[in-house]
Amino acid sequence: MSRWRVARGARAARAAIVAVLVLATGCGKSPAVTVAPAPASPALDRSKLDHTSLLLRGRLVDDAEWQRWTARPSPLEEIVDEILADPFLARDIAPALIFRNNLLRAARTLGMDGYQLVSSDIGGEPVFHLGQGCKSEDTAPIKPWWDPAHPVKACKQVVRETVWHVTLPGGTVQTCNVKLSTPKRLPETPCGCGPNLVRCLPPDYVPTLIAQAAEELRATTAYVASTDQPLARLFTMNETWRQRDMELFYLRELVNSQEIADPAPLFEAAMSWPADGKLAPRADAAPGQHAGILTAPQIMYHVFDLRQRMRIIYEAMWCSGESAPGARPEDILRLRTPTLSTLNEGWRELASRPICTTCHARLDYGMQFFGGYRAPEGIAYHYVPSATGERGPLYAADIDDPRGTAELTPRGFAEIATGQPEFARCMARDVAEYVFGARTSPATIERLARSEKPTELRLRALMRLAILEFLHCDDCRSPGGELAASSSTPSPAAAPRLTHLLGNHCTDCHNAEASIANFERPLDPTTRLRVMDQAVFGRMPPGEALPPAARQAFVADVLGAEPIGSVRQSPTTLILGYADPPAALPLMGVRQYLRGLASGHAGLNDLNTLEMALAGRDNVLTPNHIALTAVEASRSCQGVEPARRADCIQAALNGIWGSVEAIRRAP
Amino acid sequence: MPSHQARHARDGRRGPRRRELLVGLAAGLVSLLRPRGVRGQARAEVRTATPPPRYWIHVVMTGGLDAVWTTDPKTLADVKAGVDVPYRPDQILTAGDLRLGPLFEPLLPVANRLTIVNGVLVRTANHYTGIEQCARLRTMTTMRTPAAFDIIGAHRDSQALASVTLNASLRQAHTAGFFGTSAEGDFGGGASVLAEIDSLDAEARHELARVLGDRARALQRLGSPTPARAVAIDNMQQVAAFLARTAELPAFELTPWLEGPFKGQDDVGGFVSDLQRAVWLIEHDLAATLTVFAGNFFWDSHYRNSISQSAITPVFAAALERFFHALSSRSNRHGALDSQTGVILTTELGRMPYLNAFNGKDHFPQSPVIVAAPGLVAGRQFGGTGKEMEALPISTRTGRVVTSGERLVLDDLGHTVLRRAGIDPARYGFPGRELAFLAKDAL
Repeated sequence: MSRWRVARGARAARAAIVAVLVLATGCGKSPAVTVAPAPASPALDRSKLDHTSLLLRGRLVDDAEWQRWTARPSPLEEIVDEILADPFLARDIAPALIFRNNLLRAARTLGMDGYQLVSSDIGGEPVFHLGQGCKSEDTAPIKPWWDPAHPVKACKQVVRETVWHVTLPGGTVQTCNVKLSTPKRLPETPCGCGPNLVRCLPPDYVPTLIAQAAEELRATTAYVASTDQPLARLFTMNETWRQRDMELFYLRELVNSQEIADPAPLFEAAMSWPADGKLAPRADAAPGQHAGILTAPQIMYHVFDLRQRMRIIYEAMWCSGESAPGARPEDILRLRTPTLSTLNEGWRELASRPICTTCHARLDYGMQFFGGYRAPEGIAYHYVPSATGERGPLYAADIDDPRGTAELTPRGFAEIATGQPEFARCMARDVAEYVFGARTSPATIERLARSEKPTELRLRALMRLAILEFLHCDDCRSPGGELAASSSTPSPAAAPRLTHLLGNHCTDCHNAEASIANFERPLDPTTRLRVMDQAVFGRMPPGEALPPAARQAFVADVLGAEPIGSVRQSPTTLILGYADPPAALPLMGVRQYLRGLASGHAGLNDLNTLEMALAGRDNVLTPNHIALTAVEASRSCQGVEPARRADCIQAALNGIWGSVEAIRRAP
Repeated sequence: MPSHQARHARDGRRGPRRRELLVGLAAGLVSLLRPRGVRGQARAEVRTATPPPRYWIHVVMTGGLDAVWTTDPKTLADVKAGVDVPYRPDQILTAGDLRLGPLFEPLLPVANRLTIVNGVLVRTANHYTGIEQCARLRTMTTMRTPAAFDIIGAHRDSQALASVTLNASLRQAHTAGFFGTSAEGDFGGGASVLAEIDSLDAEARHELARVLGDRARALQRLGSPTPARAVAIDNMQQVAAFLARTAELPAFELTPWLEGPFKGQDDVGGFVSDLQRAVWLIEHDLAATLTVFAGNFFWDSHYRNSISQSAITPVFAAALERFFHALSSRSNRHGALDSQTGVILTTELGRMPYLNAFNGKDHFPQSPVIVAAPGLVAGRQFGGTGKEMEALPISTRTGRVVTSGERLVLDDLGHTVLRRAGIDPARYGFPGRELAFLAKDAL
């Protein structure tokens, strides 16, 4: 098996360490440490199955399972399928893999704006108004869009059912449901709350909408994963899984979009919505409006800026979120427009300009498909069908990399985007990095990506392939096993020289014929450092990080030093330790395991740390990760008598980081 | 005021030279008393006339500060037609050599400590790349690139943690040495790592510290470590030390800070609590370096630039004034905090010189930086910008505009900070040039 991540440690030493790795039992049950039996067959390695189980179920393999699997040797595939059947995969892992917690969590705010209603006692009963009350005789009963079964009273002058637009002082015509049209911003506005108060929000309602918007993203992803549908469906299907208030929110948008004069029946029909939500289609204001989860409020109203919104979308669908330096003040000034991010007058030029094009061709042409949401002409807080054009192109790497054309609608975008190899590689990468972490090889990602057509890739099948590859790979270990493995620093004599490294990895592009720096010539010391820096930390070569051995060789040759000693003592140790950092289990699995020891369940939303938003390759044993793990381990042992608590904590940590006793006993 | 604080406040009035001497003597004594091994580990790599700061605090004004309102004030005569100069010339403030825009008025009392460098290229016009770079004090980064503060933190003396990040709102702030908090609700509705640790009592912290210490020692005993294991061991030791130290300390408590016209605005932007936390962490020797991401992108003024920048910047400046006051009035066993702390202020990107269609300003790939550190010049202004606020080439020796010079890049700041910390950047492959004009002994 040609994997570059295997270049570590002598096989014999590794086998010895793996063999003595022991497992912890649950603290709540028994804080004692038990030694696992040796693997029953070469195919079954308990430490690797434990790692698999932690990843996919948030718990270790239990003794009964182990005995069952080893009593009658079971095919590895059967065991993997059994582990994959756990609901943890669809419920928790799938949403976190694709969207991560910076999107999944309930946002502080979403752009779900409306006129904020105030409730006052008028004539002995609560009456809604927009800051200035009214007399009792000027109130009217209204079925509010958020709960038409329970009419409320509102001041008549705040309703203005027939007004949908306003002409602003500058002559611009705006729809009534934008901030600039509100009575707060524009006291002379003719706009009001509209029929069934659709433009208005009752006090304290926004948090409910925000929570349900987050849940819509999680639950819809979980639905696609649990029903084993292609992942592309998540971005192309009309339906989402949502709760009642989210359905009401979609209807409210539809009413604003189509200026429906009497929307009460729509809202009333939604009253029978199940409390836990259901999978249901969404009404399109125009063909192609809805594209899976892309047009859910959690995505569409996440940020104000259209380009940043596209970045979020591409990060989820194409994993294209790497840093992109290169902008210069003169480039931006030369666009001759002061408006770069909102009206985007200069977007076509930006999308084709050298350097800029590597992001802006993708972003700026992509955002034309979503112009109906907060359309430039109206900045409406609803979908504006007229803002969309006819057809438009989509680009990938740059302006010379067109990927087809489609209707300029979200659905048009999703259909092109999910058919691309970038989509397949992204889904494959999410899964592969979840399993292999920082040690994921490009070859694994490619194998997974090519296992099916991009639009047919399914989470369970991808995960099955990745897990089986992990279990069949002799040199793959859990993060704990890897930490304890011995070093295999190549000797300086064996390390290739810089010219050789440059020849292998750089001079295909950096050569005498190219317009960029020529690495076929001897490099000055500053350039050598720069090359090392860019190669070691993965900026170069573009699109494919170097294998660890090559990174190590770059450092050894340029800095002339081996990684010896601690990060304090050796710059080389720090450089290589950051370039190829200590891997950690995803925090989600760690917490589920530790909570499980105390018979609890770890939710996605019960921590606030940016480590919940990292790609799999960035799961690193940072001080933060260590501290959060340790605190949770301590918590899992709260019920244990004080004299045994330290052992209990260590046993809990053994399940994640490998047995400390085994590390002590290692040769 | 506690007696030791009052004493240092008095020392402060005697003038910086005397205080530095006293601190130097104290530091020398501490260094003699320190175990041999620790002294060896903390050895500086570059000799500097003034001892390197023991602590570094980097505050990032997230979203994009508008330089014309703050660090680089202009008159209409200075700029091309259409460039936004939203105030009269008589509103430009001066403090010694410094010229400040009207929104930095609350900083005037501490302006003599600050050095401003205008026109620093950040090579990006997007927040994500900008935050990844600011977190590392350099450009051309990946998530794997160590931060300048990771490198400085690796050379820490007895501080528990190498590097703490407060209020990180984007995952791009993450490195293999990450420890820190995020803005409330940014990555989930639950607790941050500091709140999680605060939830443990002293006994539980000591217990965990022992458990982690045991594990780190077991890994150490495995022999010649891989670089990854070396990082893991150091990270475990950091957490163990932090748990053990904080077990002996009263919990951090937030106190009202802002006064005068800003009284009652301590919650605006969330930075008051983070700046106080930063001071608390160094006061108790818990961290060698800190990065504070201030303001939750409130400076991102695409709409109504003047209103948005005016809503956040003066409050922040007032908080910063209090922060410098706290540094000069507090001390720990190593001396007065201000004599041991390097402070850096950046913003991940700048704002366009022109207003957009919404009277806002979009992103500009250049920003100002402000430094205040022992051994660096204070009360000076360097760099230069042209008629469209664009960075001009300057001499890295004098900091003045020269046609033969080059434009400054964020890397130059990181490089200079590493040098000031006593570390040779080249040994870490850290890019950039030394900004000689910032060194006190250069003038």
